Amino acid sequence: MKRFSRRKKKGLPTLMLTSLLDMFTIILIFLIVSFEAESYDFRLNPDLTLPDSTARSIFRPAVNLAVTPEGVMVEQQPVLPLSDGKARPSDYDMGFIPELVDHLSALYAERAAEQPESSPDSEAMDDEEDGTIVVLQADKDMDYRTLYLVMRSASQAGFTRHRLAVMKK
Amino acid sequence: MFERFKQAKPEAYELNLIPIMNLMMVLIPFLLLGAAFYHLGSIPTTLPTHRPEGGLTPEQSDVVVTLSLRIEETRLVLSASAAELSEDELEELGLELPSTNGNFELDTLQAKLSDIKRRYPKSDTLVVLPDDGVLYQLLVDVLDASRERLIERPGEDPAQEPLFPVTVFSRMIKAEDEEDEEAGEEAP
Repeated sequence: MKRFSRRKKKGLPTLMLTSLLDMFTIILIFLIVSFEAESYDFRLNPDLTLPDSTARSIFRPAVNLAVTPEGVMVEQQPVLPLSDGKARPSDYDMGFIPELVDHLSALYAERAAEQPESSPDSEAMDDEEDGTIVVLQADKDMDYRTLYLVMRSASQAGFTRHRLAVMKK
Repeated sequence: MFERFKQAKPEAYELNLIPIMNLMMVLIPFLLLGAAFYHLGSIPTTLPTHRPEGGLTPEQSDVVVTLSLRIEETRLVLSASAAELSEDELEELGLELPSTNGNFELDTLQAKLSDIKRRYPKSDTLVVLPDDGVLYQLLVDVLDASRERLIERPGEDPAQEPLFPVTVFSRMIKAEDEEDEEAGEEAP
């Protein structure tokens, strides 16, 4: 009995927090480095892979137009289904997608009413306050024919200035 | 007297790390919310538009060259247009770059564009005319080469030299009866 009582007197084991603290410090430094002060109202579409680019332009969100192999989406809202990244033959013949033009026209009118002084000058291409710019997200394997069709539809709706969303290398 | 100091052993204190841990537990979720796990960029582009009021103003009397770049499966064709330059001068600015194993020597294209920019510094517009089947990634690679050039400087960060940052997309259309004859499409 004496032996047992002696052992109990050694005290409670303490948790070694030093190594845990080291780990947290590393995580904290990583998170501080990758912290983005600006909050973007922009969601990357999970159904597509953006092309890699060395472009250094600062990303500024605008009207979000996504072209995936499954369809075309405006502000995360499906507008038109695509068949393996291809539009209907009639759309190619016309040179634009009527549903997309209608949808974007309504959106353009709404945005233009908020910003009546927007101008399509190329000099003001990087104007961050202009809400009448469209950010195009497209899969890196998308062919130019479909891409141009979507861009032309946006252009017909009034969005003549585009930004191509890319993944920085 | 000194015996007493010799015998005194310094006590080992353990730091109380629990408040620091608490702070970490608050900071980490907060930073996780704002962390960017991928970095997005953007390339400004436009489509051609008909603007009757456009054209050069008297202040812009320096020669402005507008370049056109055709992207085909097997080659890149660069051509220039400017009202002030002769046919021979414009032809000298052109370039044809064949693909090697499906890849293009974009450094050669960039060097040529840099040379043109040095000769005509007010030029900034490149009209891109890709074939229908050109993939988006190739298009972005070509734009990366044509928009700006990184100049390595010893001991310093590389400097950016703007080349032709104004990119206008257009499309080649082939005439049904004359397949060889191609023309740029008019924009709406």
